[in-house]
Amino acid sequence: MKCIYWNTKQITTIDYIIDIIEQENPDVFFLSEINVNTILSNTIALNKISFEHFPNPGCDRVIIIKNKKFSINLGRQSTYYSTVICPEQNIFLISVHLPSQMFQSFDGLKGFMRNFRAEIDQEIGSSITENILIIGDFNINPFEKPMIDFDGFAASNSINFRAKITHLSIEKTLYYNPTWQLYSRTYFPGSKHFNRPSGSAYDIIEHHYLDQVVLSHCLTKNIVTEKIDVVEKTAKFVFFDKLNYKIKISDHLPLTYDFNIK
Amino acid sequence: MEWKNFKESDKQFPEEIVEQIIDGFSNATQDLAELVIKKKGEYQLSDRLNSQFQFDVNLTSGYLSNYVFRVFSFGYNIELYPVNVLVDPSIISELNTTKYYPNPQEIVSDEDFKNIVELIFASERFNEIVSGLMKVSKKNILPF
Repeated sequence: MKCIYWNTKQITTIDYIIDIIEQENPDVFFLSEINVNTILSNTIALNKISFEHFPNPGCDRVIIIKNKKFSINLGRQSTYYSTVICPEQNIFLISVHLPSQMFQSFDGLKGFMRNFRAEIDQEIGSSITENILIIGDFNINPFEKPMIDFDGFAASNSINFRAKITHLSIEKTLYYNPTWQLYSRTYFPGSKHFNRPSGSAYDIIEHHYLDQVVLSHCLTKNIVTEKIDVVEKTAKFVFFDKLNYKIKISDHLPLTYDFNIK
Repeated sequence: MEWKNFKESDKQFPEEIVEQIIDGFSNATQDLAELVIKKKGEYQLSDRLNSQFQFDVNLTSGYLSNYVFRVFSFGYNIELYPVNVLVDPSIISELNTTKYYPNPQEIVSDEDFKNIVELIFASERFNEIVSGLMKVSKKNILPF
């Protein structure tokens, strides 16, 4: 099964999306920062490659298109995330486009992440018992406190992570973040580049993996093979200029996650 | 000690107010959408509503068994009022206020609570989501 997420920065043509689909052959493609009419006015072009728009009323920040043969059901929707359920694989797919760093303090983002994680636990289910995959623009790096802290999202960098940990009698289940694998891409360790306007001169990080995948403990243990990647180019388009180390077309690179389960 | 006679509160439960307002909603959507009041579980310190009794008001559909959109949440303590209200941010942005999200807003009276609930359901954004849900629900009934 293969999922793609791409924050398009308001592209107005579907050509880039068609080309990504033809090269990557995903089951589901989640898109952000795109006008839904860009998709709806190109139904014929999508139809030609056996793709269709999957309406998700309640979440405008994530638009869903999918392979016509791939079956999904509509789940919980909110302003910041959209959930679909894959009945054959018994997997919850949640695509997120969380609040931007530009308008929130880090403490504020951590508070948001804590509430988001609590909502998943309460409304979708436990990391230990449910197959949950979350993909999208978290607007936080995998190593930053809102993602890794016990009272944040609690997403580990290791596939050999503890199912749950207890701190002062409060129990928390953990998630696995495969996005860490992409840090071997040292020439450009990010899906987005920006110099952070920081009050501290010590903030030297300029490549950011704001786009990430995280998996529940249950799904991680059911996965046999996985591959996470960013799309740098397709047959017709260059998304990452390797000569000048620049992201083109959008300011985010498309993120792909391909996996097989038992 | 000689006890005076206590009187039961004559205030209306906030969930009863919501129930009265949402009555007839399903009919208005040709039964393609529903509004459901869901009592939330045990109160936790991390809960944003910071109230003893908490409820979500969810938009659902009988034709899409897993679909849920939380329109707003409310909570109160034993005094019933004030009620803390937290509204979906996309609805709040339309109402031109910074209240109700991300932090809950305290509503002091049943009249004010009724007013904000009616304002939420009259919003363009709520109407847009219901329209979309009706369309998707209808497609799910059709045998193709």
